[in-house]
Amino acid sequence: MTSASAKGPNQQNESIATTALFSTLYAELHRLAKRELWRGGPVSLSVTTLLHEAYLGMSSKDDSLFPDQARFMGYASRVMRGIIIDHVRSRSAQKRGGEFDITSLDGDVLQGPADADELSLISDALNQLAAFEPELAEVVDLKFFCGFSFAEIAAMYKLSERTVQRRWEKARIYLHQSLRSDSSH
Amino acid sequence: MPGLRPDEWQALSPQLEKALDMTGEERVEWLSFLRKENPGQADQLERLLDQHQALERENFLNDRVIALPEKSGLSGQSIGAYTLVSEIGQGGMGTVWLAERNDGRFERRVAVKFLNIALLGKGGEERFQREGIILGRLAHPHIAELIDAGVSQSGSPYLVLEHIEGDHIDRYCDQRQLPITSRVQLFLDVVAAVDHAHTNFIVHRDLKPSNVLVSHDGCVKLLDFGIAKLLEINAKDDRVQLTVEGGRALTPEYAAPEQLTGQPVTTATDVYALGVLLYVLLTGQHPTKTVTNAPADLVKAILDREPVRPSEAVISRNQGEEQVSAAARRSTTPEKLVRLLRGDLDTVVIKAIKKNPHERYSSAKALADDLRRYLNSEPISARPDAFAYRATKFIRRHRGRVLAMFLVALTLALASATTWLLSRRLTPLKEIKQRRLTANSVEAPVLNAVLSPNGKYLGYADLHGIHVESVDTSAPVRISVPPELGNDNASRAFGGWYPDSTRFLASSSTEGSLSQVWSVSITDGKAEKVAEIEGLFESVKPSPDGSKILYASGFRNSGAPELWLMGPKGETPHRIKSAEDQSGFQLLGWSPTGSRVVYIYVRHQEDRPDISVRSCDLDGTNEATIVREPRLDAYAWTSSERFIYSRTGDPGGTESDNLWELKVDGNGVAKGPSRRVTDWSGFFVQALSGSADGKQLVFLRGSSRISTFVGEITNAGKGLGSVRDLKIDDNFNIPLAWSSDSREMIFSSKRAENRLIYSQAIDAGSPSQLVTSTPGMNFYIARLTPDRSALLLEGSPNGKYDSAIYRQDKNGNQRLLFDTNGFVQYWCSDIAANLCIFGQMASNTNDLVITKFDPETGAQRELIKIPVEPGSSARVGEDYAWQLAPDGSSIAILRRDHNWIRLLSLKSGVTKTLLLASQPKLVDLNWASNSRGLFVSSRSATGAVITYVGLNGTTRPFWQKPAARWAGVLQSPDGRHAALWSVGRDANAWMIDEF
Repeated sequence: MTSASAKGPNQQNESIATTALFSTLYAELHRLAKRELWRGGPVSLSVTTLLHEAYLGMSSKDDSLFPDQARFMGYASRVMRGIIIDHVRSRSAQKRGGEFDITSLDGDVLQGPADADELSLISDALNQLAAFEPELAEVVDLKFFCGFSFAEIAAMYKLSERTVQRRWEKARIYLHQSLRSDSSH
Repeated sequence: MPGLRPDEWQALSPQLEKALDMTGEERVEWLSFLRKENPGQADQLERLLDQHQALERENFLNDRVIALPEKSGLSGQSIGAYTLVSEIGQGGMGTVWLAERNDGRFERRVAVKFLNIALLGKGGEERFQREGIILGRLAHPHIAELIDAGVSQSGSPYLVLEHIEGDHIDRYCDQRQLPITSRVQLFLDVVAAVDHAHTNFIVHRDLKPSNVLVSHDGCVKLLDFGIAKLLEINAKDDRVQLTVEGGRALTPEYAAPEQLTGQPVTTATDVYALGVLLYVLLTGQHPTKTVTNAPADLVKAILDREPVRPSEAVISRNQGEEQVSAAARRSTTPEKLVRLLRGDLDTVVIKAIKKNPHERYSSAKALADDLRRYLNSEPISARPDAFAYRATKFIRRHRGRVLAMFLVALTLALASATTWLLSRRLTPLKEIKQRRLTANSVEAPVLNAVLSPNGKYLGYADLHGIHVESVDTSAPVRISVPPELGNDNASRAFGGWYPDSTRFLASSSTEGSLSQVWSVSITDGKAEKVAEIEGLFESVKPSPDGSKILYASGFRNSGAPELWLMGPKGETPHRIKSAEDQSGFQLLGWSPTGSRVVYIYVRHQEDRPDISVRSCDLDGTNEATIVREPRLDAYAWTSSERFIYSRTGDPGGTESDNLWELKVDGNGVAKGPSRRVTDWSGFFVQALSGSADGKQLVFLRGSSRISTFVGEITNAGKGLGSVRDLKIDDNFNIPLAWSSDSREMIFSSKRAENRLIYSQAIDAGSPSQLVTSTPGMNFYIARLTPDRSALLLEGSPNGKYDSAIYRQDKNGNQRLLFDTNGFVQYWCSDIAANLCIFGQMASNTNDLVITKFDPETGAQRELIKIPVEPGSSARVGEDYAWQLAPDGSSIAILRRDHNWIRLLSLKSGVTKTLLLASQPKLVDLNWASNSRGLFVSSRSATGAVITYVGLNGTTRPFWQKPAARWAGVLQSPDGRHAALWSVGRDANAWMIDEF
């Protein structure tokens, strides 16, 4: 666990940089997402690629912003989470228009409309978790929202896969606790 | 348990980390140890760890549910060699874009379909591309071609497909107000495509009107074959993650019950969807349409409710005006529509959409067969005991054995079915008056004919030479025929007229020498040689202004590989176009203005040719397709706007050739749909040509005939001496066997009410009926038992599809030996081997299964299963001929239209292949009576050819029948005679004066 003193001196600078970064990233990701759509590819699947591309694009512009890919992913995945929740929210609004889909339940992939409210709750809980254990929250962003595998995340952070998995499991316990208490209110 | 406070979590977190790393046993031990120090924390940890187990079980958060943003459309992106132009569709499976080639090599518009699946990792991409390759091999004229498959830079898998401009089949039918029979015919193209895919183990899974397009020229194209499968296969791969936005975009209205309940999807699933599609085409309604349209109701209806019969659906649901308009869209009245649907169509549709897959048609082909039977007014299999037409049934049952005879029988059968068809056609076409111009016999049918531009002269070729006659008086016009054009060994053709109608071009080709092109004047009768051409294909065509001559050279199965132009004196010959591999040019022509050359382009795709009429500029560029039609026989671009072609009826159907018309622009591009203009049946229509004003149209009209002969065998069984006409009569007699004393020929004939077996002494006399006739029974094939004491007959009662083998002994008593399951070919050896066998195509593979049977008791035993041609789409019943050697030692199997024969020794199981290099188009075979050789019939450019092929590989020409399409030999048991028969055609030039 990072001590408060170790964080102290850089905190101010980092938050300014982070704010700038977020807006830049947000724009960049939206640009990429749109381009992705022109190609007809469903973006949900290419988030992985998208983030890689965003990283390559931005790091070539100003490498001081992104000392490493892990750092970038930490930011980017949070931004991505926001974009995704916005999308799901707007989509579930459309869904109520009355069109129907039949969902095939075969295969191991759960399909069907994601619940925007539930995602918001997850997002809120993640924000809380990020306040004291950001590395756990990042794993959730990367895995749940962006669809990276443990192996990919491990490679990004130069950690063992087992470590990433442990972080994921811990984060999941935390989120579950948090969501349960939230819904019991 | 309330949510954890941050400080609580921070205290628990490191402990949790430790615990998660432990095994279950370690954890228990560790927790009990911890409990002694800090019981509160231990309890909390235990609860969290229990939750962890539960979360793991329920896969909490492990499934991603996310799909992304709003769509936006901007073009210009590149995918492979294609640039996206505009989005043309969106569906559950993905987004479809119109794209064009961006390397400028040739103009081609394609559809690029992005699939809503993600492929993670290289394995996923490779797998996807592999699947794409498999689908790409699914070549069929009615399946949209898959040109390429790949993964875009961003990781989206895409397919590049043939771009089809067309309408959904239901809308197409409604807009054109197609009557029921036309709808069924169009639908048969859909079924053919599905069947082709099924034989390649590809199930569509998502058949619906939006996946079945019909182009403006009436060509059906199925889209998205196998893509549903592609999605599913990828989902099963661990390395591949699949997400379909909004779930699998199954189209509930066309989904089979098993798809909704998650049962295995098979070819029967497609049969169901075909049934629903047919229901919709026939009635305009959905079989399980519900009142509310709510998906849950629909699903329930699909699973539970028995569909209303189509004929009832058009009465009960469509009241009043709606009912009238549904009928009007089918060019009929509500009453007639009900009558049309009631009965066979009801039965066929209901069988196709049975809820239980096993109760449906066993295959798409079976569905097609029944629909064809319906069109032919034969009894359908789904309700076997209805009416029948014996003649058509004959063809159907024996098409495997006698491919060419099939054509003969077809034409004959047509005559009897004509009345029926005409009475059933709902909107009779205006009758077009035609008159016969030539009077050639079957011995010398007209080979080709061309009308002069002024409409006054007919030029034609037959076996005897080139002729010109007056269209009005039929009086021959004297022309001086150069010796080369009169040579009996040459194949000759009337090429075409010069614009002033006083001169024409004709050509003659003799094997092994240059083809000669002659210009002949009809005013002074003089002829001059214009050119000598190597490998001339068919003939030469002068341009409408007379300044150029168009011809093709080279020979392939699909036509000529090269198109050439030269000047009117044969000067400056230059090649303007080359065909792709496996493709060729046929039937050349010109656009009315002479600015474009026209040709039929044949591309061989697997076994099926893709046939289109195309035109291009005089330098071979700017090629455009006028019409793509697999059944096209001939065409004529008669005036600047009018393009006429003849189209064969459905193979196996009762319709013969008819004329169709297409409005075209100067480049020959169709400006609207094809329109059928004749309502003919009973003959073929070829060699179309028109006068310059487009009013008169000349064509070859004909039908097939069979002739029987008997010949003396010479040269130790390898040669043929004198041949004389057996002159049985003209009742389509098929030689089948010889009597045991070699004095009588046994044949089948339809000289009475039913087809029966007769024999006729070869010396003289009239035929005598050989089989005991049973009322209502037809006998098609007769063989002698090995001991020659009895006849084995294949017969079936009127109206029954399945046949049986009967035994008739010397005193005329018949008894049933066994039922055959569909069509079989059966043979017996002579007494030495005492062997009788029959062969049948295995039901699920293409293997030839040979079964031995006892000619006395009918007892059977499977002898051998032969994978005839692994991986080929050829069918044993249609594409092979085989026969047991008289001594019972081996079986010879011949591949039709190819050049090999396989010999299988029944003793050793060893096979040996005979390649007949000089005979590329084999048709049939018969063993020599001493079992040491085969009489192999093949087709050549000039007629039918029979070659004696010794088992040692020696070959010797045996018999040639010029102008015949097919010929056969049956050697007598004593080896002294051969029964010979040939299938020829009777063709004459006819004219329509006011077209």
